[in-house]
Amino acid sequence: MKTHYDVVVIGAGPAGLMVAKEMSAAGATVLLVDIKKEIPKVNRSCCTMLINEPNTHGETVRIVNNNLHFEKTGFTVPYTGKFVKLVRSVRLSPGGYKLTMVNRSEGVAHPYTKEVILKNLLDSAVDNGTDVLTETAGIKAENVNGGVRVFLRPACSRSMYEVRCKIAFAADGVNSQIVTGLELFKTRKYFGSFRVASYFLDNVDYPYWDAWVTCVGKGHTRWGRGQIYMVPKFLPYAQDGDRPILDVFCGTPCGMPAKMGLDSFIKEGPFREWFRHATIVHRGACVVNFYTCIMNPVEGNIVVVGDAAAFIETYCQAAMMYGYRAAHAALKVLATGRGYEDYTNFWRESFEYCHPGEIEKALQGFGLGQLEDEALDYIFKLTDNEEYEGYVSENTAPDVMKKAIMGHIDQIRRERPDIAVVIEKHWKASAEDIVQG
Amino acid sequence: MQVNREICVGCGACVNLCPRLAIRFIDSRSYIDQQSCIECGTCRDACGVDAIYADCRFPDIIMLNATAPSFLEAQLAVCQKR
Ligand SMILES: Cc1cc2nc3c(=O)[nH]c(=O)nc-3n(C[C@H](O)[C@H](O)[C@H](O)COP(=O)(O)OP(=O)(O)OC[C@H]3O[C@@H](n4cnc5c(N)ncnc54)[C@H](O)[C@@H]3O)c2cc1C
Ligand code: SF4
Ligand code: SF4
Repeated sequence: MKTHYDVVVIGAGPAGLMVAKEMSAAGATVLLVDIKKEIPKVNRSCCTMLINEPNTHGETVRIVNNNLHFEKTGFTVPYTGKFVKLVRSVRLSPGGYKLTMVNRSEGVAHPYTKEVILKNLLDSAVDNGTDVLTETAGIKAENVNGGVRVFLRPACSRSMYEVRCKIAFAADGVNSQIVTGLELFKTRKYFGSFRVASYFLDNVDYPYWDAWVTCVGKGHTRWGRGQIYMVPKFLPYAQDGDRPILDVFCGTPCGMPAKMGLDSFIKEGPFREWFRHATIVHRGACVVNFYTCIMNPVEGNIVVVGDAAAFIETYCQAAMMYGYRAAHAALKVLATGRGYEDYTNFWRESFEYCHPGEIEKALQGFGLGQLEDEALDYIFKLTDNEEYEGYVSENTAPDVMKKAIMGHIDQIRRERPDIAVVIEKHWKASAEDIVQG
Repeated sequence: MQVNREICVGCGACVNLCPRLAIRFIDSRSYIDQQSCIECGTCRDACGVDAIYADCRFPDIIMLNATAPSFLEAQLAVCQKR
């Protein structure tokens, strides 16, 4: 371990690992730092679906020979694990009625295992000569003449030490410690915070193994707040013949019971029968602070990448893609003294939430929060036997949902004018109302 | 605050939320440095699995009555007695 590096990367998620791998492959000296003890181990809740919808965050990712192929940027991430092909995206009301989006040929999304991806990226970075510090927190990064000072603190230490580098990458995720210490943090607007609890469940007696399921409405848990998601996926290093497990999530605003919501859904919710024999094989959690995107994710020689720069999340795939782009921009900077614009311009253009109105649109897709369960059951009864073309996507699914429901609006206006009023108002509500409502 | 490391799943989320940098991630579970924590409660409100709990470090604390009348009512009562 040295005190001077070309590059220090804080955070070894998909974004930071990709940066470390690419920069070290090109011969830069790289230090990679993470608070975790075992970098590939994932205890943070994540559906880890490959979003195969073309042009998601400016990139089209396809599965080619079981690897993740990034068509537009032009690189491949080796993957040795398994995928589940989901062909339906189902929104489920407490009464069991549904609104379904399908894509039988391409699939609506393909869950994979993050552990395998992280392990492969880490192994390549280390093979290329990256130094790795685990159980060490990045505390602050500061631009100084000709480079960056990064302050690090080992987990069990009261003191910090300093490492110098030419370029530092803040890749420490959605609640980035490094970003809070930068000037550009002041440009962000805060919406609220969500917490999530999740279980991998085995032995679930379940009708939706081919679907991503979102439970809409209050009656799914005793507390009535929060959102339940379910996604089938394989455990890391599953063998041929192994069956997928079900990853079940409950998200609530901070201060509300996420884990209790999850337990309540499984033990006493309307679909508790599915879980009668279920066993928990893994537990996860996470917290997401909702901030507007960082529009210009480079301050001096500190480059912000992945979730650290985003509104909510970039997805693992785009964390890798932006990591790749940022690394190549930084290599250009190391060689010529300039080049960050390659990354910053691309980020602003391609990351949908940098565009005006997109945050509001996505938040509207979070559910028809203002409607009572009885009204949701009524609406989803109308769409129960229908199928709409779509993908699992925060960016396009809300539109499909809107079209599906608006397709019945005349009937709703006739039969239930009270519900029609709420629906029409919902699509006009502001992002803050939805987060707080 | 304290972390029940049996319940903590090691998601790491609370670490970056602490305004005092009091939360350490040791062996992939969080641990709160009692000399730095100011009991602000941020971490407890955020933890998805409720692993963080208040373990009062000031045992002779006086419990205040949560159902006391509002300030205005209390003042009024005093005035009326006079
Ligand atoms: C509920 C949920 C569902 C999701 N579903 C999907 C999905 O279906 N598909 C998908 O692709 N993505 C999904 N995501 C998003 C995905 O998890 C992220 O977009 C992705 O992990 C971002 O990668 P990253 O490298 O930017 O950050 P992270 O993966 O968060 O990595 C950050 C790393 O930094 C480390 N770290 C944090 N703080 C410090 C510090 N101070 N010092 C040093 N190291 C630090 C962490 O330990 C971690 O290893 C989901 C997320 C959530 C919360
Ligand atoms: S937020 Fe909770 S589960 Fe996550 S690391 Fe902190 S204490 Fe553990
Ligand atoms: S209570 Fe506040 S100061 Fe104490 S560990 Fe939690 S977040 Fe930090």
